[in-house]
Amino acid sequence: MPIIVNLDVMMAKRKMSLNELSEKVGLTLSNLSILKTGKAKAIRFSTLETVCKVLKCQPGDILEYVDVAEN
Amino acid sequence: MEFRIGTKQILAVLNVLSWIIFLGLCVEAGGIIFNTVYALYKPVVAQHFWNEADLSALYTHDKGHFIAQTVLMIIPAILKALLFYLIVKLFYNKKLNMARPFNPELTRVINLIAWICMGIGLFSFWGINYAGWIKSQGVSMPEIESLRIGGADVWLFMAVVLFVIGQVFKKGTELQTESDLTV
Repeated sequence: MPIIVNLDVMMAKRKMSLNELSEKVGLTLSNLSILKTGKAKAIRFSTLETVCKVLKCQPGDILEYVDVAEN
Repeated sequence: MEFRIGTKQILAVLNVLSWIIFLGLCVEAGGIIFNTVYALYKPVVAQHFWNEADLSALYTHDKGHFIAQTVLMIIPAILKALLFYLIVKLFYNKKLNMARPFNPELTRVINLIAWICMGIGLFSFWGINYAGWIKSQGVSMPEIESLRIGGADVWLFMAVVLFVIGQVFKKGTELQTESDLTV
């Protein structure tokens, strides 16, 4: 998929563990893992909003578009 | 007083009904197979073949035609038993999860049932035509209903309906997967 999820990069920058993020965002560990590993098919705006709020970042810091044809 | 019949109760009734039908179909398939083999050694059995079907005239006319006609009775009987085996199995291996009804396994089972229905329809149709052809040769044949191969058109109609339902389930499975992977 050309949309890359950089959640692990932002978590490393904020020095936050998956457990801590899970507690603060209110998502289950399995759902957060699905998002982190790029297996997710969609993300709700409400989830994105909470993740951005907790990680103090912009949606663009978490989601990145990569042109597959170019690579 | 108001009675509420929930999905659980309906499924329990369907489970019992499926078991009764499955056992009945197993007895029927087994009986036809046994009588076919037995009739080859003891021709008098053909007179009371199955369900008041008298195939003695066919047996005396030609043994080969007798075997062909009984094989065309055996195949739909086995397929019917197999169909209900799959339905009974659905209740036991928990594929029928009402919380998550759209799953790839159930879609596969519905498509398989559709193919089996088509098989029953086609073989019954073949059997009916074969019996008709034998009758046209001047051999006395029992009614199609007593040969247990009636309703071929209904089975074919059911197969088409099930194929459509299978496609709906396929789309439903895709939507369910997408919904599960939305965080």
